[in-house]
Amino acid sequence: MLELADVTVRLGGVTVLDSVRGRLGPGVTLLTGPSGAGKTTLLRTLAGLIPPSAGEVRWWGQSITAQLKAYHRRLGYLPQRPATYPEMTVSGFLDYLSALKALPPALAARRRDELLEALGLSARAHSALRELSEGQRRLVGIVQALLGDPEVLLLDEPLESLDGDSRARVLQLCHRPGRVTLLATHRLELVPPGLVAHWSLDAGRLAVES
Amino acid sequence: MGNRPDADRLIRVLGFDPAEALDPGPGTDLAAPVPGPAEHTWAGEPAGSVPVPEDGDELAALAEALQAAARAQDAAWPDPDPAETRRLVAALTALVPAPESPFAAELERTWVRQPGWLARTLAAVQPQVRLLERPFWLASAALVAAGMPLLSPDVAASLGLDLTYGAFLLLVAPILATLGVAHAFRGISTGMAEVELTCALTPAQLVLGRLFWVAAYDTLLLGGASLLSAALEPSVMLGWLVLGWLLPILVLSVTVLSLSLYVPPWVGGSAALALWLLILTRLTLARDLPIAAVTDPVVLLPLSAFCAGGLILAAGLIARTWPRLTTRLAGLDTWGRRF
Repeated sequence: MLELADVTVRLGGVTVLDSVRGRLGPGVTLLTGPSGAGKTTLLRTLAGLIPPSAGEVRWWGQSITAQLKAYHRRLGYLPQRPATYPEMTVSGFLDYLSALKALPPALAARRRDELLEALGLSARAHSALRELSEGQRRLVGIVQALLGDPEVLLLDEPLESLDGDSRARVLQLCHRPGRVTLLATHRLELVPPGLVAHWSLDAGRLAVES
Repeated sequence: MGNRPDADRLIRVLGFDPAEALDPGPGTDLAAPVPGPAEHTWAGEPAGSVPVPEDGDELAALAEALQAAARAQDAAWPDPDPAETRRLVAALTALVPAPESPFAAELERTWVRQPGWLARTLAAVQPQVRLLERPFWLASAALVAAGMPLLSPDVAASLGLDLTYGAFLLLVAPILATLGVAHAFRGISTGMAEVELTCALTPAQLVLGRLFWVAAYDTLLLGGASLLSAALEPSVMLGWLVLGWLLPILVLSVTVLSLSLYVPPWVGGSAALALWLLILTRLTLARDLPIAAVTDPVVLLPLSAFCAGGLILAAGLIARTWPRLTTRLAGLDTWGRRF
């Protein structure tokens, strides 16, 4: 259970998030809003990358800052830009992040192969990341987010530049009993219905929660 | 009961079927005297506490009254709409412990087994060596090896260089440190640091890991080269020589890191290197000393003082950033990439 308790984030004198309050339970919650509404900042705040100027993010009732490392062990995060080290191979990149996530090598390798298979990337495992298309790099980013079988999954625009088949597979992988998933997108038409909840941000405020 | 859906709702409300409870059973004489209180119960109540309908009309009237009650309850508590149902399910699901995946269970067992702070720090530092690509290893080694001909004074003289290999190492050390740190922290400007900082390591472990590998490799290269230089040229004072390149490595590494919290690493690296060259020029050429004099204590002592000052300044910059270290290391609050 992830909770935003009146979270305000001011960056460079601008209030990007304004007293956002809400609870994220298990299941996939969709986060929408126009560009500049604060979606990415909300995800970064939930990921513990930006400390709130006021309020706090709680995970099972306790501030994430008080348990950041334990929280990060259970977190999967995909930033808006599909960031990679382009000179690394796909498997080398995933192995590097598995090590940073403190995953046991054998377990991580099995998980990596399963996820690459599930997203149709097995054949590119030994390709350098710079040789991949933007969509494939995004899929690699999603694989890294899912490596630790996280309890909290924060995905920023994961469906951009993906074909319909890949989108469906990604959404399928997001589902796991007990997992809290927040999926941010500004393109509502990419997401199929049947999600647990829908949050809408507008100018830093949580406008709709359903 | 008139219609079946109403009857079903009545059964749901009451928790039992009144028609069945009131059914006297086949062959029962309704005109016979009602059994005594000890022998007869209706819906668990002692007989006599609940009025038992006398005949079919009373039974029908009772059923009618119960149906009316059920309808009233339905009106007061309408069926929830699908959105309400989803919210209820989500709220209840959150309270029920989810079945743990076998993978997550195995991970938990591994993490619980993990030993103390030092071992965990080493475990966080070790994988970061993968970040340093082959060009880094090769270029650093090539740079140190490029000055090897200077080991022979004759070669240096034939090249028209008034430079010893020791002095060459002192000039090369800051370049090695700057390029190495800028390379190791390139993720700050590419967005990768954002991902790395959501892994199971602290910002301090991330910084320590990268600085360690760069400094360790540079020390290995320059240490080996210094030993070679001292072995071939007895006049070389090994202690001063090592101090001469060790200090710039430390200062430049920390300076590039601290500047990278504000500007992209390549900008920070260039600025730090320019500053270093300016100081070096002031201490040698501006005092009519040859650049080779960098190994001389006359230059090394004030240089050490500058280094100490630089270290304090850089540490101050990092300390100033400390509350937002994660944000800055993730490259989310730096010049040119502000949020």
